[in-house]
Amino acid sequence: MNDILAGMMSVCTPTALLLMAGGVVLGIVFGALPGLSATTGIALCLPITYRLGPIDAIALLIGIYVGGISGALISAILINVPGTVASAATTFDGYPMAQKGKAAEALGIGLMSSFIGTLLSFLALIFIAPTLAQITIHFSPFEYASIVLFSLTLIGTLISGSVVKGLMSGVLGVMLGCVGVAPGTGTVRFSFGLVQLSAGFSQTPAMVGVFALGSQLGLIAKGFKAKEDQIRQCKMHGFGMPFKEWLHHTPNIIRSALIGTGIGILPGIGGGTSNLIAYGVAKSTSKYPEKFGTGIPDGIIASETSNNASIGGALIPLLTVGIPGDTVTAMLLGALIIQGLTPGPLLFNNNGVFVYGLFTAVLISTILMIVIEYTGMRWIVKILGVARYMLLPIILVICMTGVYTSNNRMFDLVVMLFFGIVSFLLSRYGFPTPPLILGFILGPYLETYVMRAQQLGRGSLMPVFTHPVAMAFLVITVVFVISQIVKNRKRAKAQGDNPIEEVDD
Amino acid sequence: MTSLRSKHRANLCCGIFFLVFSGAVALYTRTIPISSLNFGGMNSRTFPYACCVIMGVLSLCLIYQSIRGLKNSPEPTEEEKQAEKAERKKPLRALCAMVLVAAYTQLVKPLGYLITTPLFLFALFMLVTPAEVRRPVKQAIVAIVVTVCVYLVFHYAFAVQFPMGPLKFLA
Repeated sequence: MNDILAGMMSVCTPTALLLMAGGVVLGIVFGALPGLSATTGIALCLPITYRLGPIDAIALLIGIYVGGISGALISAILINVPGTVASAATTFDGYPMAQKGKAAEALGIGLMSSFIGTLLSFLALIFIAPTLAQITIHFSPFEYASIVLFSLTLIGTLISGSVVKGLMSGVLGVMLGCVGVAPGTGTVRFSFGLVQLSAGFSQTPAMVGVFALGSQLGLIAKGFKAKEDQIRQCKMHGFGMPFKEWLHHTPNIIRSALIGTGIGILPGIGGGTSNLIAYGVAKSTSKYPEKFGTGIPDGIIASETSNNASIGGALIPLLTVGIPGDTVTAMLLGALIIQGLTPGPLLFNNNGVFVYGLFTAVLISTILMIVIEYTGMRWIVKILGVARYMLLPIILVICMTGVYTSNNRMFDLVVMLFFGIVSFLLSRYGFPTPPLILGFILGPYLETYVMRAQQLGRGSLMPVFTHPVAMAFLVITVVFVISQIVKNRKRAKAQGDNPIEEVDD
Repeated sequence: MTSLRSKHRANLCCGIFFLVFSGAVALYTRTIPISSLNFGGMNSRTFPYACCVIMGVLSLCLIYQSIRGLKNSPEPTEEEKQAEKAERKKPLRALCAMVLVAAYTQLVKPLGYLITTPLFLFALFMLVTPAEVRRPVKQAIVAIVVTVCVYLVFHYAFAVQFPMGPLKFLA
């Protein structure tokens, strides 16, 4: 109880509140700008967190996360281009509503749904996470190794259409994670005589390289239009519909929140998938499915509730097992490590104040998100009017400055450039980049746990058969890979082509 | 829109590249010194070597799929050929941006942050801004203002020491 109160108080300082508000604003802007995302926003601010305390750092990043997922609805509704994939389904009914002259109503509905979604996932987070942490505290290296393997495989296979390419990207990330001191033995590997590489690639420049530089190189390659789709002026009034009508949508809200939270818990598939699934389920269970896509609130509610509900879901595996569920939580893992905190069950015992501070930060950021987005919509829309060919170079310079300041090393800029080029090339040839960074982060954990498991099994991994949880994860991993391959083959046969499915550029 | 055939060809090249890459890394792992610490048969070579094997197998899968795809896919249409030509030119701008970033990493120490950053930012503006809306004077001013703002924030709020180059007297 003391931890809960102390945690709540720790984020109620003026600095933390200001950072959260700033993070929410930045997140909304980054989420709303097509091509940027909450991940880019966090990549931009990650180096800054070196200078902050753990609570202030996480308050800023959670603010960006919450704002970033919600902000994507603005461009989805106003210009039919989702700021991020998490709001792809919002365009289906949001844009038709805007075309009917109901843009403010659509934004109000989206905003309120985002708020409710995050709030419900917050409840799931505070009830599920501590209980799960009590269970995972008894996990041995066998369980951890199989969970990391499961996460890597799931991410590799689900995030891209091609199972092979997804897995290759993940393995490449694991290989890059091998650079530096080997866990356990202390042997330096793949440093090629460079002293700067003896500790491996720093996580911050690697992540900024992949998510900021890599994605920006992709946008630069595509080129910018002289006159881009301009977001119209918009003034908010109310939340789209009266309270009674909101009550009528309760089943849709709860169902979508459950879908979002559930999918968020699974590694690799966050808001980007949950919004489409929730939309599909809402349509199939609706009494008027034919109206979906014509501009009805149900579609916006399903999409926005579920993508925001993924936030709390994705935080659960990060905090309880120390395994990030998606790219944003991978960044948060990096931020926690920078602060000297190790996510996992022990975090609840050793840093209870921090954990409850994080929970409170999610809640406060959610409230700030709805207040800022509602009252500041007029200005947010104006910021979005700034041409991307002006914004992107400025963002890149801030990212590069941030990377330099993280260690005051020029070499980190070289690492950023290296990861940026790798990420750009992978994306260009249809390889997904999230598995790369998750492999890079999780690879050393996998090696450590496998080493410990083997040590525990006295040179054998066979004792894994006596660990039901570990076995269950391994079986699920194998079944999942096989089912994905079979699914791809069936689809390819139906199309009369081979099983390679490309990722959109 | 690029043709299916060229996608398979690109995949084939990727597969071959990753196969060679994993082979080279596997060979290199043999030079990693082995520690006397015992981890139940595992040493500092085992994990990277296992990764190379997995990568090699996946590369072979990609090569196999691509060859099958190349056999089955039709010849590209004239429209697709034109689109591919345009597509090939796209990375040039990204390549220029990479060169700019690389030059920045090399020049920032001798020239200092306050000189290199506005030059880099201005060059980037010129590179990414469509010709019809390029405003060199306005964008140069933006580059200088942004650099000074970023410098002031990081230097005074976060106490970061930047390389100053010839402008050392300002620090």
